[in-house]
Amino acid sequence: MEILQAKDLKKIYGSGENAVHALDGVNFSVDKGEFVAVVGTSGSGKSTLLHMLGGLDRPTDGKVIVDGKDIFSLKDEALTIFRRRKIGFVFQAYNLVPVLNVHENIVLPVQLDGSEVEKSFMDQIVQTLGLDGRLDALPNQLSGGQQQRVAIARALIAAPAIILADEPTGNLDSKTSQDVLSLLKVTSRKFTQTIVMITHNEEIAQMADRIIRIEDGRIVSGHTPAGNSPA
Amino acid sequence: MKVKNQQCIRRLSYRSLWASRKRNLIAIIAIALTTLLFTSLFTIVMSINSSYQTYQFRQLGGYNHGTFKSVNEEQLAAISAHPNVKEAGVRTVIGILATDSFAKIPAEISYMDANTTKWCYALPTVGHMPEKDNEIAMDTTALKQLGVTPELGAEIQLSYTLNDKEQTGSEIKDTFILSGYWEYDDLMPVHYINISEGYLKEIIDAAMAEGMESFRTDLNVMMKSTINIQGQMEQVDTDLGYTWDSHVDENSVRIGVNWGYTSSQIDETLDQEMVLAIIAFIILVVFTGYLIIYNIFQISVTGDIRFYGLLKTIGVTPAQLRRIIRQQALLLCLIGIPIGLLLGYITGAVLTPAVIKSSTSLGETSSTISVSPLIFVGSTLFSLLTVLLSCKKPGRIAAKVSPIEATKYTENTQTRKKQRHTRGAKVSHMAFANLGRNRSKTILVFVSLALSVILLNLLYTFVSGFDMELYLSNQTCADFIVSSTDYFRFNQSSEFITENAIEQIESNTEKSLAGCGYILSDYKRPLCWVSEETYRALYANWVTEEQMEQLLSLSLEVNDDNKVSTDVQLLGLDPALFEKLTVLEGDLDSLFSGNSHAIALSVYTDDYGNVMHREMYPEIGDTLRLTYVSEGYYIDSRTGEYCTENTPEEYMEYHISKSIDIDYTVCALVSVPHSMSHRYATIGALGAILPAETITRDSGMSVIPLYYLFDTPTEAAEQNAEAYLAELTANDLPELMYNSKETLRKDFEQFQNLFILLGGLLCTIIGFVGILNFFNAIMTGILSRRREFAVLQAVGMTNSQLRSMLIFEGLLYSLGSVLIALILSAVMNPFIGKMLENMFWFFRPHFTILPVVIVIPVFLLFGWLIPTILYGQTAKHSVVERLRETE
Repeated sequence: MEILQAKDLKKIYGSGENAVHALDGVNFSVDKGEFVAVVGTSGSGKSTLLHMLGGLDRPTDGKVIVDGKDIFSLKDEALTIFRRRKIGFVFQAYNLVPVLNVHENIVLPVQLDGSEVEKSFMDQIVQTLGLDGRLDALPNQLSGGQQQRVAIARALIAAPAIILADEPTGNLDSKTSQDVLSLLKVTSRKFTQTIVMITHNEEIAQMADRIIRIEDGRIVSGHTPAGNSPA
Repeated sequence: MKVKNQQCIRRLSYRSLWASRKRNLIAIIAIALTTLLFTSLFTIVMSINSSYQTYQFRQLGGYNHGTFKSVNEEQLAAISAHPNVKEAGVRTVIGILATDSFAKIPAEISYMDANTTKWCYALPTVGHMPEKDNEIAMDTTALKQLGVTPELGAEIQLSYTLNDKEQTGSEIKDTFILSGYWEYDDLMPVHYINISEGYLKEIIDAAMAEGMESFRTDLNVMMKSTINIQGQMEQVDTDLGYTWDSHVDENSVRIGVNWGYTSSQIDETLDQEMVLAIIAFIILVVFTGYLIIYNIFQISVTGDIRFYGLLKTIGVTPAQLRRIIRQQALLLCLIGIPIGLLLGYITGAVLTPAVIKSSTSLGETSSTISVSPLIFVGSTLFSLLTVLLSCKKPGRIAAKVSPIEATKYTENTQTRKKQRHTRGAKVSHMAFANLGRNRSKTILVFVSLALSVILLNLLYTFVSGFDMELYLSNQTCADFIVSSTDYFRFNQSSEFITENAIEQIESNTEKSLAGCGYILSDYKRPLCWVSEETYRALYANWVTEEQMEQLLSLSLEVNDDNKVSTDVQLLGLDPALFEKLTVLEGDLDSLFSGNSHAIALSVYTDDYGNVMHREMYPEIGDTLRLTYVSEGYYIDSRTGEYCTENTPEEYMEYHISKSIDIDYTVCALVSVPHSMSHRYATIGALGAILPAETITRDSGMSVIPLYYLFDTPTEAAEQNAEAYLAELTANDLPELMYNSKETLRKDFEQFQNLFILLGGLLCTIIGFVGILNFFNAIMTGILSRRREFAVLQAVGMTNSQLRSMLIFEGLLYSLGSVLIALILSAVMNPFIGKMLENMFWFFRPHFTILPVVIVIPVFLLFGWLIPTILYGQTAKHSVVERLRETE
């Protein structure tokens, strides 16, 4: 079942001579439960693609359909609400709210939505990510790996349709990167989450079910790495 | 759903607010200052209003809303129980002392219940209200006049005639014990002598046995609200089936409304210019408050833009972001407003007496500080309004920000194409470019700093433009003018200054010129006969066409020459005083030639001394007939009977029964200095001046002195006279008052000081706000560019170069604001000077920018000092440390 679809996605910065085609007609789709890595060099347009998929930025042309909904048909306010219910983000810079503690950071998206977190679900996530015992800490009291695990927990908490990860390991050393990524993979399996991850690190990309390669704003190939098959 | 996420939003607001405490301290100070300004303004205005009210209540003898007059037991109970009536209190008067020492201010012997006692300012300050039958309470002056020393338990012999307003009974003599007393208030119209309820019963029983009616009992009431008291009281009567307009009807309960409530409303005590000034002030404060609070929020939003972007990626909606910012603002208000209210109230309370003393006719003693909740509600609302206005735009910016751009945001947004130059990166050029990075912020700082300087300049122009000599020459025409307080307060009286008093003053002072102004005794007022044309001209400014026809048709008996009558405001003068008049047409000599029948007319002149409304006055040489009326009466034009209390004014027709006609020749038109005139004008009356002797000779009636006026030959004599009169009016003759050049000079200085005080306060606060803004701009400028500075230093900029760049920025701010202040002052001053000249006749505008010039070094000092201090703090961390800082 397709949970995410990009249709002829275009993003052009500037105009005329100076126009930069960051995305130049991207088409692909992701099935439910799939773990997809998007790789490309810097400037290839992969970050722009992720922003479009997450509804953080509007495309010049084309559509993004999440869970059957064309997200750019929504107004800003509605889009934000849709995003916090259906899409979880994990950023390279973690983007934790510095003034809130770990627990508050994790539950923020749910509380913003005006609902309560189911305690058992919370406990499960916290345990899986090894965050128990650090719930009262503030972000600046945590190591990079821990901060990124908090960010993953935050992305999972609302049980979104997809999780978009933008270079989630970019700020981490290779050992921690492996750990974090395994956790991401394990938890997504456990909670049957769909993940789209951006990276320029081939080694990391190899852990995905499928790799999409992007160059100059276009998809050049999509293949399944050896030894991995969709769940 | 809305309710549930509130707490989460609130937590976000609160935590991020706490995280930037330093910056918010400035915001709190700004909010407190804004509130302070509002509160002190409202306190002063409301206090002036309540002082007027209190003044009137004291003149009237009580502050109850109204009185139901002459009620019986049954009516009393019914009215007290009516829902419109909040509180009620009874009073029964059994006798009045109005002879001997009580001739001037009578004493009323009455029983008052607790409510009435309180409302009538008759609560004993020492002792208690009469309880036992033979107990009595009164004020100290009444005690003194009865020859009793104020001591609790003193024995008092009182003899009085039993009477109330409707009947008179026998003479009573009784002995009482003093149970309480209080200080007499000069404004009260009556001395209250209060007896006990038991004694009242005894007296009533005895009187009824004698065949008298029971005494009149009035029911004083407090209504539900002060709005439309008359209407509310009529409603009570209507509801209970009474009428209120008859003196004889058994079923009528007459109504008296305390006019202290109706006449002292704020719109009457404050004239239009005052209202305009208040509105202008409010706008100014809102604007000043807006400047800084907006600036702080604006800067903090741009500083935190990444944070907001981050929140957006997590899923905070634009509306929620706006709410976060609004909540932060409100949280700051929660701290700032109470502080401002408190300080503002104190400031207002301190300033009020000074304002009341110098800008109203009330004495300092009647100044009461209002405790109306309106002050606090109003100030809070206006402060909130200012704050909400201020955080509106920053909220929009935060809500609009794109989450992607926010994470890349640097403060530089709209850069135009610049001409490349090869001058290199000079520190001064960098500073200049830095100010250009955010033009609106820079301009905001310029404007808020400039505002205080412009105001200072304005205040200086204003105060230094007051022309004391102009004020003096207009306010008084002599060194000293002495009369009763009634004359100076425009009250009517049967006697102003007595011959005795004049003699006493004459024998104790040295003078170069002296004399009295006179009026006919008992307020008799002559009539004069003028053409219909003149009549119309005299009334034209006062009445409508319709009223004019009615007046013409009604009161006037047309005499043989086809002339109609109008009032004459006749002023008699001692010969010496004619010197003080300004002759505009004709001459005054013929007034004094033997048996002449010449008369001078007083005219109004404009600011340039030209006669205004020349058509109102007869020509020189014209004959003017005066009719001195010694007896006259009013009849009701509908019935032909004498007028009663109930005759409406429009049916009152004047008839003359005894009079003398004299034909005068108009010899001169003169202008009389206001200070030696009647000091009030009568509608439609013709002002006339005659030597006092001529008036007595022609009218056969007596005249009384209105005032005594004299000039002193030397400065020493002036000082002596001043000291003598001050002493005299304070002790021996307290009913007298005097105006002298010296007292006027003091009044004037007080008036001037008031403006210096108020304006100074305003300038100080606005100046403070400006400096806060300055401080804030520089501080956030440094904080938000910490990394940039680190980068600059990493590529080789030295600490001192960086500091001098910041100092350059500070100096540019100073110079920019001073420049704006200079330009605006130069443009506005002439215009405002004209306006002030129209508002204050003793104002002579002269252009100055001296204050702006004086402020320049002060501003430069700040421009240098603030960046120096602030940069010193950041420079403590190493370059590497600062480079690493993420946020």
